[in-house]
Amino acid sequence: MSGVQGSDNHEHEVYGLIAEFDGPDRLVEVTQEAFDRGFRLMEAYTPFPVEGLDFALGYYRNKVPATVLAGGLLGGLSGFALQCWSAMAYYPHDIAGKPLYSWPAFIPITFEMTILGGAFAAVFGMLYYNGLPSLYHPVFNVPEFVAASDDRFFLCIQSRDPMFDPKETLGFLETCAPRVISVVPY
Amino acid sequence: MSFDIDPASLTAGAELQGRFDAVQSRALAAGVVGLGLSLAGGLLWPTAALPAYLVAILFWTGISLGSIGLAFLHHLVGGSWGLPLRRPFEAGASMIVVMALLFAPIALGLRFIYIWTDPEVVAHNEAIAHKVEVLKYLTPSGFTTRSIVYFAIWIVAALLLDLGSRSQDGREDDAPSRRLYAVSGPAIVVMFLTATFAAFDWGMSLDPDWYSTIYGVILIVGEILSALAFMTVVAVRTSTFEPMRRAVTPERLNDVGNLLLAFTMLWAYMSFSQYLIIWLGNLGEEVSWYLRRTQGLWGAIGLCLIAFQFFAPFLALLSREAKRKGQWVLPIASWIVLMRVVELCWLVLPAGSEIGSPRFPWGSIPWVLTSMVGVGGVWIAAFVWRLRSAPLIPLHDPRIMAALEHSGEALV
Repeated sequence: MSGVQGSDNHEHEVYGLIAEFDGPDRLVEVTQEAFDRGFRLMEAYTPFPVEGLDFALGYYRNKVPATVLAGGLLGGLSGFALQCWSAMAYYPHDIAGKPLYSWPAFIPITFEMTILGGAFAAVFGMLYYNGLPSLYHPVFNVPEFVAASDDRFFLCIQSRDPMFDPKETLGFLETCAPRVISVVPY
Repeated sequence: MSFDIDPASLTAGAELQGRFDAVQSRALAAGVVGLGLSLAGGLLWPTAALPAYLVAILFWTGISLGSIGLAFLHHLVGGSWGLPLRRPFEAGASMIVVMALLFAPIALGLRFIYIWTDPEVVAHNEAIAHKVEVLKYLTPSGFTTRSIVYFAIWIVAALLLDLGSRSQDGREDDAPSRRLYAVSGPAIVVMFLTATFAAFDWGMSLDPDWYSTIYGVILIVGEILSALAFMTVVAVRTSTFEPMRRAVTPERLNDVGNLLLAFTMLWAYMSFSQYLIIWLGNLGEEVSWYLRRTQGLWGAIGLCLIAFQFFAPFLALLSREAKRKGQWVLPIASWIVLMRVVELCWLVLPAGSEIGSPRFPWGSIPWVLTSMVGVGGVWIAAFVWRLRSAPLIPLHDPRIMAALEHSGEALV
């Protein structure tokens, strides 16, 4: 695979450089530093959610909120429309002398459908934007990476990043005093 | 630098003390003038001024009750969102003492507020006669006795919170906090029960021919919402000064914004549930409450509540980035507090009006203003006095410290 990539693009011979840290606070600091230097295509890996890491990565501006809003609106509108259609056109029925279009009675289902649409959009939108499910990921080629689900904290700067330069990026990561820096092969 | 190094750095600095002085003296002056005007109104036009005074009492008592409930809740579940809000909650909770005193005019002027005190009305309505004469629930002495019991229970709750939290400040072991933690669960149950009965007595009995089992929860959720919004305003307004600057972080504002959003939705959920059930049932003795509150100008105000007490804050609080900014949360929280006053007017003032002949109680509106300013001025002056008498951040609170440690937040 690397041969195919490397034949026309020198930078893509490796997936990136990954640095291993002992604690979450240090990882957030380093990530912030990398972000401030202009790195954008990078990813952090931690055993548990780390507060502030999303901001350090610049990931707080993503498409999930807009997707959830769209999903919620779509769910609510379709729920309301379904009730209007069934009560007014498909099976008009006199219930307690109320008009066929009894919107207050439609609100609970509309509310529930809004939640359902929003929840589905959140979960599946998040998975989609994350590129999941994924059967192969290069970071697993680094033996030390298994500790990412135990007690180590990783920052991987990808070679696709326009700022990425094998020597300079390595130099930058070395100044951050990580435990180990590994090259991530494809 | 962490929070528990230097207690002196956690009390308000000179600049903030100056601001506190100014707010205190201005609030006290406004309070005295407002209460004076309300007293004059109550003596000259009691039927117009006293229901308006009830609006102010329900509002400010609600802020205190909501503060008690939220402080207990925080002792129970912890979390770092309480760091900037705990002391305001505790100071607000203590103000229930002030409200007990200011409640006296209601008990003295029952016959100008509640129509069940009128034998003429009782004689002509079976439902009211049942509650007044058969059950002997709605009687002036019963009303007053129950109100005294509610206030006694709430004062005990507020003192437990306020003194318990302050005694934690001076010590390294966590005994006071552990005691409060043990008390909090049962205390929330007691608060819910007493606040429900108070809502029935003070609010629901304004329309004694009507009943709704969800009414208490509607009022309680509104009280919690307004208390949270009010204390958010306090926290954001003081966050330009140390030590509140360190306590009001974007993460905590985000949490508080989420809570405001959740309680706004809960308020709408409860209010709509009552409406939906009564609308579906369509029974004469139940719909009267809504007929009184939808005729004439009240109908427009009801629609405004849907648009501006639910949709406006709901939509404004959706965006995560907006919730992280104090200058965005502050106007929303202030707006929620303002709409609460409108809602209480809508709940209280149309009571007992004749259905079919819309007559807006313009005569009560000025007294709503004087009462809100009068009761509010005294409340705020006493609140600031209580708030500044202790460090603005609860020290050594194990729940808060655990939350800070867990989230790995920088304490600087």
